[in-house]
Amino acid sequence: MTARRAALLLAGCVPLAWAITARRAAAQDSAAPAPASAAQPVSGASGAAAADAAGAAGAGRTERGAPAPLTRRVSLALTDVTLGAALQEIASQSGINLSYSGRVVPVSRRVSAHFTDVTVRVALDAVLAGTGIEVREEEGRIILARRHHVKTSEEGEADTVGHAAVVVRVVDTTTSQPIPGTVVGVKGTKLTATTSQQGYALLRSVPSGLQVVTVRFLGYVPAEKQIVVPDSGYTRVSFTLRMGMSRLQEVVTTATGQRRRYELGNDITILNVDSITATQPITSVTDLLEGRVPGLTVQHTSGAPGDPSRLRLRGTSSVLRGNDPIVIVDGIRVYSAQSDSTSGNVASSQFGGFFHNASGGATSLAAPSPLDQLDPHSIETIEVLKGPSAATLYGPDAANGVIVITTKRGQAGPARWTASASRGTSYMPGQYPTGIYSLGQNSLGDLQLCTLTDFRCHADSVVRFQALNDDRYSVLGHGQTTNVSLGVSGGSAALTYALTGSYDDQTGILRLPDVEAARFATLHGGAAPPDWMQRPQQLTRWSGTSRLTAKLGARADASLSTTLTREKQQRSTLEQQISTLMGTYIDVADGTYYRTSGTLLSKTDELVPDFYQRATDDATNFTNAANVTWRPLSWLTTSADGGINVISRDDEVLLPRGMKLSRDTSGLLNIGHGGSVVSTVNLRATATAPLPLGFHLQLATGANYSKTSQSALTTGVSGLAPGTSSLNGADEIELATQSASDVTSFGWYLEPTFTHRKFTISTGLRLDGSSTFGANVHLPAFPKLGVSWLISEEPFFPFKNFFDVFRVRAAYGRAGVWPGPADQLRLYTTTRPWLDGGFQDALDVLKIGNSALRPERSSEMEGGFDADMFGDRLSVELTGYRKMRYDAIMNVPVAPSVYGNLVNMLRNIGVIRNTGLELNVTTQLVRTDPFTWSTTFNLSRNHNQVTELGAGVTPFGSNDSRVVAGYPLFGRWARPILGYADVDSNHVITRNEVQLGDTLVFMGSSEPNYEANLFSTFSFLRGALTASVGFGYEDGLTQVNRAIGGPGQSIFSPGLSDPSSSFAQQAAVAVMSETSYGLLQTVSTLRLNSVSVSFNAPPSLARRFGTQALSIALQGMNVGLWTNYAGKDPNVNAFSTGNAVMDTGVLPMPRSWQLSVHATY
Amino acid sequence: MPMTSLSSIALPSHRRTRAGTRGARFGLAVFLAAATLSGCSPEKLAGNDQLPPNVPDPGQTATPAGAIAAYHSAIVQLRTAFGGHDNSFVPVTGLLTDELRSGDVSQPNFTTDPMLVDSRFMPEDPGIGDDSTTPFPVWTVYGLLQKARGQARQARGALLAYAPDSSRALVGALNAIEGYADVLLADLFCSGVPLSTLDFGGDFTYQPGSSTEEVYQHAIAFFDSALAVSADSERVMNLARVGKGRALLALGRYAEAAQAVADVPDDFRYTFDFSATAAPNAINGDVNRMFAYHDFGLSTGPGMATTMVDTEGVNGLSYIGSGDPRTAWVSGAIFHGLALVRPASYPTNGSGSLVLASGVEARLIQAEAALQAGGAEWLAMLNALRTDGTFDTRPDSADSTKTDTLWHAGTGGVAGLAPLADPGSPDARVSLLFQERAYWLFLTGHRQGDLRRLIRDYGRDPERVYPTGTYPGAFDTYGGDVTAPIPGTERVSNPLFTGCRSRGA
Repeated sequence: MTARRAALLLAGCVPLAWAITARRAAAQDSAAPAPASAAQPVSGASGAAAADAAGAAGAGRTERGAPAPLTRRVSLALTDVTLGAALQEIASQSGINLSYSGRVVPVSRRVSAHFTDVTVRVALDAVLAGTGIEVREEEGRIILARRHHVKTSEEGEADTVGHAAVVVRVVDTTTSQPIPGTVVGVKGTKLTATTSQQGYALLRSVPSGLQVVTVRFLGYVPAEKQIVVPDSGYTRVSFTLRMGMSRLQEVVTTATGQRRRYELGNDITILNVDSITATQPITSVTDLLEGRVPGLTVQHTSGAPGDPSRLRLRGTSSVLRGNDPIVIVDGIRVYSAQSDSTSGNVASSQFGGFFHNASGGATSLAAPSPLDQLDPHSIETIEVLKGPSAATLYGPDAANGVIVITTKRGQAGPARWTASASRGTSYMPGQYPTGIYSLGQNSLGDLQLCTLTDFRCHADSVVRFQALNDDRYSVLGHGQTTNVSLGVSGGSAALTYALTGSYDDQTGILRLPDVEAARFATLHGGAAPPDWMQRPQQLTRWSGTSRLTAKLGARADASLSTTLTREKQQRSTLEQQISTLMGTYIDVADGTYYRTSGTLLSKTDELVPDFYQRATDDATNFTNAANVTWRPLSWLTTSADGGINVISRDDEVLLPRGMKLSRDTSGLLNIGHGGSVVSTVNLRATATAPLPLGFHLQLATGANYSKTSQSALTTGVSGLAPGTSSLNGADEIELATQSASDVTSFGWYLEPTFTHRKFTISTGLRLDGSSTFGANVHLPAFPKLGVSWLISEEPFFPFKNFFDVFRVRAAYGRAGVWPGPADQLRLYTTTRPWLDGGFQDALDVLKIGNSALRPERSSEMEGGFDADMFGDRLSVELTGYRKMRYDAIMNVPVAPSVYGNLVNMLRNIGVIRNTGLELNVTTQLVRTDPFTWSTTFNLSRNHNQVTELGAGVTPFGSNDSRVVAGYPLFGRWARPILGYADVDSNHVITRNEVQLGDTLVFMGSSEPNYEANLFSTFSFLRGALTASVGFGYEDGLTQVNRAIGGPGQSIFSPGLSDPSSSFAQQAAVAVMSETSYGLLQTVSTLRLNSVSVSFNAPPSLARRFGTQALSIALQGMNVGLWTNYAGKDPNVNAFSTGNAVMDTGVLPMPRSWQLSVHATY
Repeated sequence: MPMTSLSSIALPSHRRTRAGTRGARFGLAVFLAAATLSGCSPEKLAGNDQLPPNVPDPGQTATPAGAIAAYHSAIVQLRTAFGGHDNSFVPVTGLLTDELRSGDVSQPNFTTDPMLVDSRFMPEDPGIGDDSTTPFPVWTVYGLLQKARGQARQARGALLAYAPDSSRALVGALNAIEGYADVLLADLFCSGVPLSTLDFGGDFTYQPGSSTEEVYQHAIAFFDSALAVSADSERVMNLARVGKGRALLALGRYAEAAQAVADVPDDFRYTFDFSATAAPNAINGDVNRMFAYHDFGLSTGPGMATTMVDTEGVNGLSYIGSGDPRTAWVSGAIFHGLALVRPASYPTNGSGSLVLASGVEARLIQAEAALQAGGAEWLAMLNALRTDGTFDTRPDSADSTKTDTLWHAGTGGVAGLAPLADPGSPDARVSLLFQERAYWLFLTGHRQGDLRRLIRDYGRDPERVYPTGTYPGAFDTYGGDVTAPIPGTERVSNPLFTGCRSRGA
């Protein structure tokens, strides 16, 4: 038996002892400071192990080469013998003389010891454990004497001789910081104590002998240790606690300051970014959020590099106002709207006609997301508050949820450098659906599409073809990604710092086919198309973040964080040719291109008709946040945040002169400059006071001020000077527009919180004002109430053996979404009609305005529980919620008797309800030293319904995005196919043989009803090798598949021309131009979102490269997709703004693989 | 911005509770502290630069120039509602009466909204959903006329608030415009037109439907107001006089009507002038153009084509076959085999002047009052119109080169208008009088009101008045409507409106 096994026997806890031993060994190996648990002689078990390890290293040899006395080896098999006998046996086996006094050493004490081949040191420590006797080696003699050490304050209060006491110290594994408040006890007794601020607790009058000390603290994995308690004096035992999976002890940044998570009545998702980026392929904040926040729906705008995603927390609630959550970075607001007009390219969004979408209209290109301009490497934590029950005190627009981002802060100590680099490739996986072409010839000998209903056309063949699947014609190629990040942190006790810098360079997968490049050269005198036409999708991003934290004396501290990002995105109209190519047939034999238009094939010279227009977006995002905290009194803490977020955008849309376009060959240039400035000032004060009956009061109050200014200036010219791409020399100014808005908001709040033991009830009220409210609006008030009860900490809780932690919680809160800047105003439009012989200025009413317009109000009730079970191997969080949006602002038609037809007024009407469940399960199925397997699974279900539309409001919206009381917001509606019959028995269904319903019917929701995500991580070889996978599942999204089912592209349906098609398929084609009934599909999707394999180099190997830690990882994203969707990928939407979601041939998310290296110095 | 403005945002209501007020004061104090810390003054906080692209700051329009611009808009709105749109009052009432026929009737199996109007088939939409049954021309002209009312109120408020020193006649003109909008609504639509108001300085106020009589009385009140403030503009005074006379005539108050127009000179004409030149920034380029630009022009297409018609539906007058110079016509395009006929005085390039009120109309009102009073004076007055060249003078237009669409006696047509003889019977006299009105006021938006008056005031059977019998289009027969319904959109949104009180005359 080895010493370690002997120690394990004594400890009675095999896995824990293994872990301790391993850490100890690792610490010695890396010469790093040993963890607290290993540095102290906490028990006979670990002490023995430590001694054994030291002996094995050969540290105790004499000058003659013989083993030093204490490293000589013995084996003991003693049961219930006196200590004196045990000492005699050790001395006998080792040949060592032990010197001690029978008055000091309790030789009559009964001990048992079973060891095989352990050192004398181990054997002596084991039999002397709990006696207060230590082993000293002096001049070759082994002396047993009373231990002398500096007493802690707790020991000072210990029992005198004749009564044993145990001093327990508890620290956190990760931080080595003491954990105050930990409940310490002795198993089988009623002895309990609570640790002090320094992490110590004293257990008095502990019966001597073998005892088990237990420690429990909320949010940490409970622990226990077996110790031998002496008859008198002291013994010490130390615990290092690991945070549990439910992590209720975590500190949460709330609107009123930092709180422990278990004190809150609402659910909060907290992401520790480093732990995610260590194993997952993360390139943006959206990547961090996707799949990790139950209740968060992420819908991608497209797969173009840098394109934003639509984020919806617990469903969509607003018809006209934004549904984007607000974002707080280091205490201040930043501009975060990803769905309003400014999220498009400033240049093109106001110059309709430049970029065209699949249906022929102008489209607004999405600009990169402001949220994704934050460097994920610079972030320490992200906290997601999902609705009003959590976000009441955050003020304007908090009803949509809050994303609280905290950047990294430095730790005192020498500079610690981190570096990472990755390089990857991306491509479109799989095949696009093939079109079915039943081909014949027309009188000119050209191919024509023989539809089933064209009885004069005789098909020669039926061909399946898809240009996007043919490399010769496809615009889809391979993209590249490069990322480099460097960080340093450190500092002193007075000042710490953390600096992070990163660089991203991404090339999208879009590329110009060679045949089109050649055609371009032919048309342009042999000149090759410029790079941007050949590889239009580009994104580069530089980012730097710094955070300084300073102690200003004993009672104050301050921090200053700064983030600067420069980003440039480039795209072109080639992106929109995906849809065009989907409907293109190529006679590969002779290279002739045919474009489908309805049921017609028309010959064309252009494989892709437009790749000549380029859109660029240059953005600078700067955020500066300062925070000062001052604690003038022990019971009073005050703090202030101030900061500014500035985004400046220079956008451009260019159609160079001389391009072959029917509209204009002289060139068009549209330049837009837009920007936003968000200013924030927060003041807070928190006072604490004890109350009678064991209650404790924490009273927080504060005020917030924020101002968001936006502006955009756009100029458009035509007739560019030859060879130029600037406004200079242009023929004509076609456009000059300007817009601006200022929104000022302020609010104040009061939040009393009462606690009693582990029961917390928190109330609060916030009052708000805003420049966007109507003049006749009362000051809206938003109350909140939260209850949290750590029921497992109560003495009467009966299931302590089953639940490590069990908390029940409930919260109610209200929050608002503010009206738009000019929503309440009566606005006018100017015209120049001909009147009285000339053109005169005229001023019409554009918008009636509403002097009573007030914010949308959301109220939310949520409740649930958190439970850690089975020794922290299973953690479950379950939350149910009911979120109501009252006073939803909608465009209400005004009767024409007021100001004519088509006049609308924004009014607070309508009620929208979101109800749902969120489940988060974390497991550690295997937790052994060489191998661990941990899994996180979350499931969310949301049901959205417009419950009221208000009096006088009829259902409105397009069929693909309709608002109807009793149905989900922005639901899909269509005229149904009621039936069909082959009346003329010709085996072909024509339009007249299909009965189409007159009334729209509900087809499905535009958001998924169910979402589930699973992340599983496997760690091999004590963490040296890690593998992880992430799956995502969605169900209930009804997608409009315009890409393959639009009137111009019915070639994807067999019902168009395949004689073997069913009548149902033929009927769908027959009415395709009248209803999207056949285009709507309720989708289930299972996606293998991520795969990662990483190798963490052993310290010795890492040191060879001059690093402290080194890892290399192969990571894949969007690795697999299994869906019943007939199109390419249902999780894209065509619109960057507004609430419409549909697949119109938008570039889906590509598959990507990257190799990354992380190093720490 | 003064603190009172700030208070209007933060502390808006005296009705707030005491606790709320205390909270507001505390909040205001905290807010001001925060604002001070942030380096912002309250003036900046309440800044009003909150506008979408290309929309002027409302505050900057609160000027005399802005008020004048609003006044211009009011005139343009009524001009558009009267004859500046394919579905404005003149062409729509022309379709409903015997003046015009939908050109779409020549298309087999083809039904258009103008045909619904033309064939007098306009069911009232119940207003429980999308307005699916109101014919588009009816929906459009209703909205245009109501917008003219709303803009007149808006402009009047702006003039009184921001240009108090401007000519009072501008206010008078706006009153007359609103009065005319009322008259036209009452002429065309069923009893029960709601006269809701766009409130200057406020939002709006819905009103229940007013009876046809109430609407005319409402109009008379506006004309009286116009007469009271427009002494410095004889043109506005005459417009108001004719408008008042027209409204009184519609109420059967003939003597008062004659008295109202007594001072209107023979040569008075108030025209709406249209230009062939598109407005620089009009949403569509046709905002300045007369309805004839589309209805008789080259762009004629389904739903737009109209034609003059002879003796439409049995009861129609012979506008073509009579050879009357007042309804002179020319052949137009061939549309699906149907030769379209257009009035010779209506240009098809969009320019021209459409007469809203005239001395001729004043004399006709007087003639009708005389007929009601008995004696032979009425015939003399009609014959004076037909033979006395003094009625032809310069057009009442800023652009003297333009000619209006009213036939001008003395310009060559006198020879073609022989004196009328007394037909002898009272009924025939009424018919003759209304025939003269129909020819004199051809396609100027008077025929619909006249036909309703024949039913309402002269007791004639609608089927003796309106086109009836076989309809050449897809409907086969004419319907029975003599008024247009209020569109269903009104019923959907206006909680006080419960539908037409009566669809009768």
